[in-house]
Amino acid sequence: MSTNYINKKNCFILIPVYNEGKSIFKVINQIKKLGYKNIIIIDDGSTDKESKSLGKKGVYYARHCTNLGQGASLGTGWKIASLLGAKCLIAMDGDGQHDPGEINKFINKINRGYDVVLGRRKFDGEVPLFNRIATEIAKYLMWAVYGIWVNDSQSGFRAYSKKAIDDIAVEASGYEFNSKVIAETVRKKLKYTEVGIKTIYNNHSLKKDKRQSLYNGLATFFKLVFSI
Amino acid sequence: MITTNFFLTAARILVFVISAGFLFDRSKKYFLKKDRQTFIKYATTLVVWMSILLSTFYTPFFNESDTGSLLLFYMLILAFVLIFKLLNMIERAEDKIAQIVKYDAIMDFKSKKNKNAKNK
Repeated sequence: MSTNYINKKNCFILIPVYNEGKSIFKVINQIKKLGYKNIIIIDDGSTDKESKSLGKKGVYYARHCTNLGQGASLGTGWKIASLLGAKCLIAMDGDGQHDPGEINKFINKINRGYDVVLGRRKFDGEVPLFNRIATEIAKYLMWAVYGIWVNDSQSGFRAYSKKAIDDIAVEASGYEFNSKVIAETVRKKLKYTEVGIKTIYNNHSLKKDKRQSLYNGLATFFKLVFSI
Repeated sequence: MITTNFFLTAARILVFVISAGFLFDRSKKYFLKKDRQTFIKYATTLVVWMSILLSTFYTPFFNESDTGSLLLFYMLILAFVLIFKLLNMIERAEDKIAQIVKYDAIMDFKSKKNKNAKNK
């Protein structure tokens, strides 16, 4: 078997968090139960009480002294994964929207030779209407700005191979990070694919979405169009 | 005596110089492939700044004799340029702050990791 074969031991899970104290511990426990030991948590300047004990959970932990945005946390986590010699990096949300049980789908694709695997959310059930519309708009915007067609450019559940970790360099603080990573993937001629994933909506993520979705949607839209 | 016509001519020259400068700078970046300029970004710049540049010669919505309205129009364009530049500067400052915060978090992570390794 190749030494580059990705398994639970050489794969790193990256979770950016901001005031996710209510859900992150459950997510960490679920991931550990599945046998993944390398978990990187980037605390993006959380102010909730629960997040203070994140560093004691047996994970690789780093903290931004102020809130910068999801993209900045992913960027920091990306560099830390590279420092730790990760052969595969899986990025996922800390609010419980992503099912850790689906991580193996991503690893399978990386082991088949893909460099970037993008999670494609299934929009059924109780997914808020705004999120469905925003994802559709983001899809066409991605095509208009970068000329790349992907079904879900904003999904945070993704996997990157060692080559992608080394080759992709994106500097963005907000949600535009995800779109820019796809653009870089295409620019660097890396092999990418999409896998279908479940999207779990709990009380915490629904509340968070209501607070953030409109602002983040508009900010991402303008940053993509004008950043540029 | 300084008249409205004088201010109008000065504003026109200023708007012309700024828009010509923007067009030259973006064209240079696009053709030299600097700053990852894409065709869409370049096309957007061309449409916006070419329209502004042309407005210094021809303004279809105003009568040439209505110097007050014309002056106001050019002042609005200049205000737009200033706001755009200001936002751009804020964005750059935010980027710098983000770089410092990220660097600090990584350095802190590294020092804790080294400390743990020594303790073991």
